[in-house]
Amino acid sequence: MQLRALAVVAVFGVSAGAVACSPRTDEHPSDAGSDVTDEMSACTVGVFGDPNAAIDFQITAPGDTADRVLNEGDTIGIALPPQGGRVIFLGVRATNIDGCGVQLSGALRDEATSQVRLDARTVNLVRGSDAWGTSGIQGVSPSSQLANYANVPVCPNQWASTDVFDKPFKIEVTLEDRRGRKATKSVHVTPKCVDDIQYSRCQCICLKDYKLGSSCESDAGSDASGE
Amino acid sequence: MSHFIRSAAAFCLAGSALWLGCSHKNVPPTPSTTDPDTLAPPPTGQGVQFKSGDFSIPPGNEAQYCYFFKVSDLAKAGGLDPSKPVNLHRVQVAQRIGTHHMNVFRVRTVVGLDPTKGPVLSTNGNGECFKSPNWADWPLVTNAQQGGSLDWTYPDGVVNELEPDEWLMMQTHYVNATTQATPDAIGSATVNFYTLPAEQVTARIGTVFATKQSIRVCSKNPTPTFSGTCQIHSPAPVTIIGANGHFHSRGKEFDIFAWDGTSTTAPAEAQRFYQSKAWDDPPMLHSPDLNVQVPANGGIWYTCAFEWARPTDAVGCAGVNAYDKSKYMTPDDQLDCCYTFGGVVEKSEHCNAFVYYYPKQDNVNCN
Repeated sequence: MQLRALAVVAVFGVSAGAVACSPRTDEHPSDAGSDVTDEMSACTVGVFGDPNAAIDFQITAPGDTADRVLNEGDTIGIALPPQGGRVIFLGVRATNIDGCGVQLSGALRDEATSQVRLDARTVNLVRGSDAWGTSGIQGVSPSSQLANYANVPVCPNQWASTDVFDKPFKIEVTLEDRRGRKATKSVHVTPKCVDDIQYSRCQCICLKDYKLGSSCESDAGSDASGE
Repeated sequence: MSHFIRSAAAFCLAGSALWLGCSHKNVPPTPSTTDPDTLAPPPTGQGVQFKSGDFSIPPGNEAQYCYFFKVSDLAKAGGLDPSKPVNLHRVQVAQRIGTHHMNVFRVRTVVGLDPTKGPVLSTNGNGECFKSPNWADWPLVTNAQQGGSLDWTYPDGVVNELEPDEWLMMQTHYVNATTQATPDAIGSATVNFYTLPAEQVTARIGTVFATKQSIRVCSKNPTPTFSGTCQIHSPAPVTIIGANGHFHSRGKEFDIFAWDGTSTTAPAEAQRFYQSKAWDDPPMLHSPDLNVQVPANGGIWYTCAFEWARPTDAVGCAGVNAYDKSKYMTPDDQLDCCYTFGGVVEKSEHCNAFVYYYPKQDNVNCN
């Protein structure tokens, strides 16, 4: 497991020396206007921007020292997560939203077939130095906060009509706050096998028509399963 | 504890030989039961039986034991032709009270669990029988949970074809701790596989074992939900005939829906075919009551909803934080008394979906 976590770090090329804004040193009051009780929640992130304005956000991915905004035509790294297989991690930079208990849904779509791979989860956004909440904590290794991102499984590739790497795909991300307000955005990106150690296996299990159990030259990072 | 280890070791010696054939009594199949000792084996030539036998679970302990059985050995003992496949058509499971789960897998890639070396007995999260990468590519055959018993006959002509040279692993998990107890401190599981003659087989059953492993249930994000999907890569619709969900005591609701393979939002309520709101008594739905068709290249969407709760005194936040640190290398300033994915009931969580369908497809992808 440690090897896998290290592999994730390698994918992002994280620098440990970056200066961070810790969410715990810049806490804001909870959303007094929320109609959701916080009886149990110790979430103190609060509201970003104007809670009555439409949710606005950008799609992000973990970067070396901070989240990186994904723009049309960008590339995104295919990562080896602790759970095995290969994923892309999708996050957000959002405002006009209660940062506690946000429903984050991320998906990668093959537009030729409309087939999609997705992950949805509840996250707390992180407060930085402005009125925007982010998925990642600036300066903190992505490998220690992977649950803050949608872990979108993309390989083994038993689903896409092309190789999953070096081909354009559509990313779709939806945010929903605790009041049920939603916003959706999409962007086209090209997934890339980027990690030196796992590069050949990534290119093997992300090939079009890969079959489970097919041999790959490097067998590290095989899929995990349940306990 | 030392007594427990001695008991387990003693049982280990016996466990490898505890597969049994049919009884020579010509008795009708026994109804499902939670007493493994009273579950009669199939009549000669109609199936096979295998069992763990009794093992001790002292208070404060969890045990996960892995037993191995070769299909041809089982067939021979059951009065079947050991050179032919066993066409599993009806499964019966009986377990003593205290079981947390029982899964049967087909052995594939051997990593840390070698079937030729006999049973592996692991306790309290330690040992090869607790390490999921050891059965990463082992297809599910059948499962049962805390209810203990199962008696399920597949639809007419539908079987799970088990090849003679295959090994099966029966994995049984017992908990005798705070969130779950084993009243008699003894665990035991017995399984019957009834067969169908080859000429009556019309379809093979496929199984799905989905595990959402990137879960975190934390004090500062106390009511999270996690959703994932499984696509069954099939050019034609398939029929789901069995389902159950599995999580631990922080789990509040487990839902499984039919999914079209293209939507990124949760399917409509009308598409939900499974719901569990009792972590310690999850329904095991199966045919004929469950019969759901999913479209070509569709599959399932499953969602686990959790509610964080303070760990038991015996574990404490220090215990779950230590698990988080050791397994995920979470730095100290990110620790938040989080339950993460793992098999230890008292200090970790699961979000696992078990689904049975037909006709079987080669490519099924879950997350």
